[in-house]
Amino acid sequence: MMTGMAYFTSGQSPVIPISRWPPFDVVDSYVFVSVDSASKTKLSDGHQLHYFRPSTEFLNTPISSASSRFQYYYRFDVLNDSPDTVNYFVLGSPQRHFEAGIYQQHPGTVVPMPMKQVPYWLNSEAKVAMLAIPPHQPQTVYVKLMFPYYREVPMYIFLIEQNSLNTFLLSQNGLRSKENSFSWFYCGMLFMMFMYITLKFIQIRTLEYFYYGAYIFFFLVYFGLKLLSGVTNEWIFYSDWYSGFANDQLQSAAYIMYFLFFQQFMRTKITMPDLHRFIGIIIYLLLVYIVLDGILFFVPETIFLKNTLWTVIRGILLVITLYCIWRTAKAQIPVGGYLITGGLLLSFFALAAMIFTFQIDWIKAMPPPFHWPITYFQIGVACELICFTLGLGYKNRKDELKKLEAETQLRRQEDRLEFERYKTMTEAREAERGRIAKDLHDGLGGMLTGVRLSLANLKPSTPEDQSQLHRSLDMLDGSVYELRRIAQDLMPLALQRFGLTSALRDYTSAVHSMGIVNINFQVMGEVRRLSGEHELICYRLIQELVNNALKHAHAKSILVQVVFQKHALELTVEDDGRGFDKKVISDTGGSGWSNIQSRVSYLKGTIDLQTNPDEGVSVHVHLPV
Amino acid sequence: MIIDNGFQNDHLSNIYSYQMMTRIFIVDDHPMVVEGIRSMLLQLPNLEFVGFAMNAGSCEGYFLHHTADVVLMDINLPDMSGIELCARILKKQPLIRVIALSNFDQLSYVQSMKEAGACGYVLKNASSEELQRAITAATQGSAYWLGKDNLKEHWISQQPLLTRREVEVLRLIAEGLTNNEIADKLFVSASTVDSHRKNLISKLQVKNTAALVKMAVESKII
Repeated sequence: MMTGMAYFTSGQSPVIPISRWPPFDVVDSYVFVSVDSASKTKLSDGHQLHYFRPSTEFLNTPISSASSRFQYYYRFDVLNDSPDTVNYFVLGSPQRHFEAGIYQQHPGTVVPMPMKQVPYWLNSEAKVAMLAIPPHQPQTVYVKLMFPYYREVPMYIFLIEQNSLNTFLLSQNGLRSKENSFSWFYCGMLFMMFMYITLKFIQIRTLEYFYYGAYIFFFLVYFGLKLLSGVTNEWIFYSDWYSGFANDQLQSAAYIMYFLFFQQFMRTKITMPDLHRFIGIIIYLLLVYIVLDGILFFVPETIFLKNTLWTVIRGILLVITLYCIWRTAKAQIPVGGYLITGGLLLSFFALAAMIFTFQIDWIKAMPPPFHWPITYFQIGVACELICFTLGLGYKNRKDELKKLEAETQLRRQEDRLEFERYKTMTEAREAERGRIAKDLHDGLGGMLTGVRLSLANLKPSTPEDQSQLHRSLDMLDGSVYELRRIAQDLMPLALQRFGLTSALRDYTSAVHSMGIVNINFQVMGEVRRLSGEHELICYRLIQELVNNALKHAHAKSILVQVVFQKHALELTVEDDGRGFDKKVISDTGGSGWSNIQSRVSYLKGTIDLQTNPDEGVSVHVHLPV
Repeated sequence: MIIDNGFQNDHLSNIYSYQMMTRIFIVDDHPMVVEGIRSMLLQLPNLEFVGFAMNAGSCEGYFLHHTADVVLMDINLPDMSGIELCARILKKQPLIRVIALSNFDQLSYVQSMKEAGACGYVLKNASSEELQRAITAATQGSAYWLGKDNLKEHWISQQPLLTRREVEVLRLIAEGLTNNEIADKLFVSASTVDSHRKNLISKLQVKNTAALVKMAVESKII
């Protein structure tokens, strides 16, 4: 357990004659601090923390001739109003490019106070001196601040009650501060969002998600490092490493990702080619800057240049962002609204945070965490991320719908092609059959009839010849009958001429007259003609079903029913034969059945098959016509 | 092409026998068939062959100015179907008796010719006796359809039969199920069930579902 006292070793401080020091009567600023009147904050252990921050004006006062370059002496007159002696620690800022010396004035001399390095988070150290202030005896303390290269470093001078040093140091440690709970929550949310976008990227694999994820990632690291190095608190010691290096780099990287995301999201290559090129150049410049900034970090003398550069670039980037927003608004791209809203919100909050950094007093009275400028930046980023995520989702959905539609169209086209193929094939086959049937009937049929007629006219002289002629005539009759049957099977010419009902009546009557089964044919509804294609397919369908009943089912009776409805045709074929297990069809996909099914689906109809072994077959087909 | 006088050798005898002789005209696009029928007819008594046509156009031309008692008409003609031709000629000369002479043995053709006004239907490979009977029937005002006097479709049952699906639907209706419930039970669509129901109503000739159920119970269908 660390205690405040542990930092001080007893021993006589060397007394330095006042003449050997820079003249303490020539100080850059003079501040009188009353313990009771200094800015106060309450530490978690209940003790008061008094702190004083030289104002910007104060820091920018002209360098006096007495001071060396970037070396300032501040004189504090500290008065203890309370009745008891209080011990205070005086702390200097832990900046790398900052050195502090703390001196106490005694009559005639200025004595440097024993200093101690206090380890601080990451690589920083604070310089601490202890001062005992008896009641009502003003003490004078000089604080020497040395800025070897650059003077505009935020710095504080703290007066802390002795017992509270530990608590104070802990409170500075970003990791343990209760005050940082907002930042913890914020970074947690960012992390979850980053994981979610990563997931989406793995799922969808578009560059948009990649850049967006990277954008969130850099912000996560940026805010995370701020949190871990304790920079969330406005008056906290800046981590030197952090502020000098990662801050600029991370923000620049985030900006690069933002621009890349913008290019992808808005499809600037197509929609705004000039802006696309411009952003491309900016991205390259930013990359150059990141490298340059990294190099400058290792040359401490350039810290002024480095910080100025970053400030200027930050301003330029803000302007470019606003320009992109303006261009997006002008291009009137549907998803652009999300980007515009997000960008504007972020710009607004970033600007506010930047202003508050310099004018900390404006928000000092706000309840935590709103007394820290960075909170405003965080809010801005959160608003932007919400807008961007919504925009991405919306765009994704649109793209998906478009893709789905294209797919459906493709499938429909494929279906149509398939139908066309089927149709062409069927038509060609049926046309060929029709031609053959017609030729048989008209050509061969006519000739056979002629032959028969001329034979019939013969007058045989002997009874033998007579019987021979009769036999020949019978044979000829048989041939003609066979010819008719073949022609009818090939193409029922009556179908085209008289329609489905007549042709089916012919067919069922022919089947009936074979004497194998008892076939019933019934027609209901308003009989009408359908398209040639429909009639032929329906005819073939029933032919196939009746054939099945005859061939496989060994049925004794068959019922064929045709019902004409207003917008549909219903065909039913039933037999009392052997029936079968429905599973057999779906398993083996019998060619007869697949024929029937393809015919029905071609006409966009439905089949209701009802059968079981030894229970006959009942097929009900519903066709829209 | 009209050949109408080649076989009328004696005009006077024709006038004498006018009332008894039956004038026959043949329409067929096969010369062999025309010749065959003609020679077959010539052997029969009281028949007179007055001409033939090989297509519908020439046939109609003939009947513009001439007539016949009986026309033997083929159905397959190159320019018009015999069915239509029959109707057209009968419209102009209603007294003519048309007998279809065809290679088609399907009843739809018979039915159509009957509707067109023909009074007989003979297959081309019919015997001369059969042809004689058809012609006699035609001249006597009766009909002859493929060897029968009347055209009755005996294989069509008078009482409509119910399909198994219909019986099943009827039973479920009687159980009080709605269309949707029946559809769920039978794995078909509700509209299919509805069409079954309509078919049942028209088959059993009742007015509504309630009457349907009553009828079904009374006639012990279910």
